[in-house]
Amino acid sequence: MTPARWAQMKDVYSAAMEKPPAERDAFLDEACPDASLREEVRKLLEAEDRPPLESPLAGVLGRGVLPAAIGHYRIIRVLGEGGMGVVYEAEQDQPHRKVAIKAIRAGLADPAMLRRFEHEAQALGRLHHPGIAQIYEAGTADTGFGPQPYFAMEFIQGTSLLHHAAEQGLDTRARLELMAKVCDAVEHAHQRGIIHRDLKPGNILVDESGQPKIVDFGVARATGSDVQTTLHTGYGQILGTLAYMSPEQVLADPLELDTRSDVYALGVILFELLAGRLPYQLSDQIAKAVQTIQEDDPARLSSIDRAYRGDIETIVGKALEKDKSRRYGSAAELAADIRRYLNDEPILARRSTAAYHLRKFARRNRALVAGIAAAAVMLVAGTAVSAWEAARARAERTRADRRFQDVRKLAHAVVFEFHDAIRDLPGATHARELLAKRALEYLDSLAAESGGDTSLQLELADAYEKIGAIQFTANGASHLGEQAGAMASQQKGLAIRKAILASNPGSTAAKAGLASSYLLIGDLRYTQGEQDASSDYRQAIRIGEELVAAQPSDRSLRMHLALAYREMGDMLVGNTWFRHRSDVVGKWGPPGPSADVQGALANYQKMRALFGQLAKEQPQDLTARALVADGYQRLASVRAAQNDFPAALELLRDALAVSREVYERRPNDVHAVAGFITLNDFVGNALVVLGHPAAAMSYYAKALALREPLAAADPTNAGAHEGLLWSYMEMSYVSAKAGRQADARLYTSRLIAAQRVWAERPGATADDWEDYAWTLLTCDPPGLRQPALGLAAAKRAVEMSASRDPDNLDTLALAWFRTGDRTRAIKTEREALALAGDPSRRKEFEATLHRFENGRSEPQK
Amino acid sequence: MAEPGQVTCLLNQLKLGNRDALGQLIPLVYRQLRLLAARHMRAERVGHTLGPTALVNELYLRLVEQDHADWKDRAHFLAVAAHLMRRILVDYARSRQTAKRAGTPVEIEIDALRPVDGAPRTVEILTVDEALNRLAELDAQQARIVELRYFVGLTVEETAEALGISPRTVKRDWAMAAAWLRNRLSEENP
Repeated sequence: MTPARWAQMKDVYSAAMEKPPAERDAFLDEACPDASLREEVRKLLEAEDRPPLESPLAGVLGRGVLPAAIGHYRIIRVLGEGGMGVVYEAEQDQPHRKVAIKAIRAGLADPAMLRRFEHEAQALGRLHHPGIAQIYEAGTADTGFGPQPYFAMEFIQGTSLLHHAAEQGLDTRARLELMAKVCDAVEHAHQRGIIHRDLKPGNILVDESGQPKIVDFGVARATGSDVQTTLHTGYGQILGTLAYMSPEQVLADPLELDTRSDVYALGVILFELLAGRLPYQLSDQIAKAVQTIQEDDPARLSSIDRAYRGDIETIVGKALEKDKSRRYGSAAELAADIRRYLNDEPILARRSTAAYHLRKFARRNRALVAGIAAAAVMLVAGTAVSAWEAARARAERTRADRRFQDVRKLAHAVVFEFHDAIRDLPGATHARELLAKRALEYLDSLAAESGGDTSLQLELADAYEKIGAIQFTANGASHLGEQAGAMASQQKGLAIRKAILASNPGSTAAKAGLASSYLLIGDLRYTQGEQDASSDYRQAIRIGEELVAAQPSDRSLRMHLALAYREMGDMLVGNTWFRHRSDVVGKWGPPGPSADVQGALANYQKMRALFGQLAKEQPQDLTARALVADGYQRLASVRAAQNDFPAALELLRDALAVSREVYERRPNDVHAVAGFITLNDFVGNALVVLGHPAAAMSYYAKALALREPLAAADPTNAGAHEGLLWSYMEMSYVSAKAGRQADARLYTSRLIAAQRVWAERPGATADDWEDYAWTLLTCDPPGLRQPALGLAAAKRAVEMSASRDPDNLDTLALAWFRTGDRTRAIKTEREALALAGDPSRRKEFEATLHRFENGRSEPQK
Repeated sequence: MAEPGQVTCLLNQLKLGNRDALGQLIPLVYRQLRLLAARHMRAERVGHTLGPTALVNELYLRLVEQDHADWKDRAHFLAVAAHLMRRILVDYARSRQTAKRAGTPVEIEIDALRPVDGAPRTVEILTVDEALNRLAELDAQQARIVELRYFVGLTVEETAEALGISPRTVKRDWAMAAAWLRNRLSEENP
């Protein structure tokens, strides 16, 4: 037998098999040139009568069997099948309803996974949201292939998101509204610590009423994606369809995955919903596709449809940022921006801002705090050894108990004493994070061992609160800028405290903690631009008032209640308006259109009464004093909102007096220094508004004198640098107003010098160069402007942002104009306009363009 | 079958030196093996049985030995895995034969080798294995099809996908190869 002969046989055999058996002999006679070939093929045809050849594995596979029931659900039919399992349509008797059963393949279950499944299933059961398919039950059934975990969930009569949008012919507005609803649902789960991990249009169904319903929430995790030691390691990480996976998810690093990975997926879905295609052309070859997701810029939405220029494009772009810290911090932020756009309000997404710089700063500062961190690690390493020993010695009951207490004490000391001791040292943020995180790990493990030990649970909640504050504190001086993480930590604290109260309704500590949780969560919501922070604040105030009524002499309870009034007041008046505005020196911003000035005033007055009481009772309590100053400052802001600047000035002067006292007694406390500087600025601002530039100058000068050493001591500190620039601008402005031109020149020269140093440092950003260019082009007095240098700096900025930042381009256009090249100025401004998202920004650019087109160029002197 | 993309993605990770990827590959490629492993969870299977979990583990270990291999694509990986699965089954069948000849009791059973309708499958497996060596010389594609269909238990469609050929071709080639093998088997065990 040769291959050629075999091939001949195959041809004849195959042809013969297609004939009816009765005609085969005749066919062979005709087709076979020789008798031996005919004989070979005939033998093959005879094999039909022999037992069939079956794979030894086939007998034990049991494929394609439809189970009659899973749990107490009658299986009707298979709805779908995927890598992880099968989805059935099923019926339940009581209550009588249709359900969808998602059964995980039995082969994927091992004992560790089953434990994890149970744990996660409980969390999923707590998700109640109209936008999430409700999980009715999670259980384990044996359908003959071993324990098979399954979810019983809401049966959704609907179509997938993209299909629905196409079918209903939804317009852009309706599509955006739909996506905002999807974001709400995702946020609900995130708030409860559940990440979807596999968001895609196919996992979002829209029912007949138009309500989107997300299915498969948390299924990836519940089914063992994080179990490291089994065959299924990391299985969940590659579950999602690649196109919707974030750069960190395609890297399959479970530690990098967080709620912002879902935000990215929402961005891809939003893009696809609007554009009808994906933001990337992904290769069939996965390695290339992964590279695309990690490295390539997504398509611009406006390149597909010009109608998406501007805000929508900016929103989608922010959700699709490769660096998750530059994305929306939460699904709620994304939803809020979509709704702002729909309501014609300015969106929040824009080029990197102070928060971004702050995060950068925190990262840079790690080196500076290495010394502190090393000490902290040594301390914690000791704790770890003790904890391990405690676990080992569990048999020796009394000894183990004592050690347990030791470990707990040490962990407590680390979180509360050591942490508090370094809290207000400049640059200690990273050390604080490290300390708190480590200590929390031990507390977590201890809590698991201790069961229902209430006091330990209380400590645990406090520790979560502290970590949350390190991750992000609204208006805080030092934190890591991780809003989503902070929210998760604060929510954990809240949940623990609620649980304690459920079993000990009388616990004052738990109640006070609960009020604090609400307050901090309200702050986070408010910072994220959510409107519903008021309900959190109201809760905090209600609980605080109850506690103070029961124990009127407790200082701490009153302090916290006062803070709750303050936050509520801030929210009602829209507090950010009276803070620094970097675009207008010496002016007050207007209160927002929705500001409730009277409501704010009422809350501020309650706050001031309490702070005043506290400071009076204990004059040496500097914190209370600082808060009194703070109270004055806020009342001043309300007066300013009512255009009563003389009254505002009086209140600010009172605040400054108290603040000075606190500062003089605690000159190394960052809060004390920052508060004192800010108040000097504010008093100066008020004086400028009232037309007293010369008087304002002495306050601005004081602020400058305090800022200069701070910036010199920490040359990489962006906050200190920005403060210094601010002071130079103030001084220059107010000097010119007061007719002191020589001083104005002096401070502007210093401003230029400082900006140059900042831009030339390693790690400078495009924006640093742009800021420098802007000053060189526009500063006062005009004699100090240097258009040629400004052009070089602006070119540098545009080069660094790869011509994709509209503001950088806007500045470059001005540089061309100021150096006499009107054609290039117009061309560049048009580029900026094409990229601009924010409507107010666009308006500005249009006006500039108009000016360039109609004006004469301003040649270099 | 798993989505093709996942497998290729894992193969790339494997190439980059991520050994864990292998552990993820097997359950993805071998739905059959997962089901086998599931059966192992049943209490009555525990005992002196080389259960399906062990089969998967065995396959895993042998694949690890191949980790220097430069996986070209999914088909390549499947081919190697199928070949190894064949080796595992044959090795066990052979050791069982040896044990029987030597009169030593069989300590290890393997589900796949349990008698079907009273006929022991060890002989069948060894016969198919030998015949397959011969077939590979005559028609390499047919031999690959038999390997996947017989030793791994893939369906016609799965085999077609794995080899990147049409299901029609698989059906045709399999029909002839199976007929030929059935004849060989009946010659060996009249």
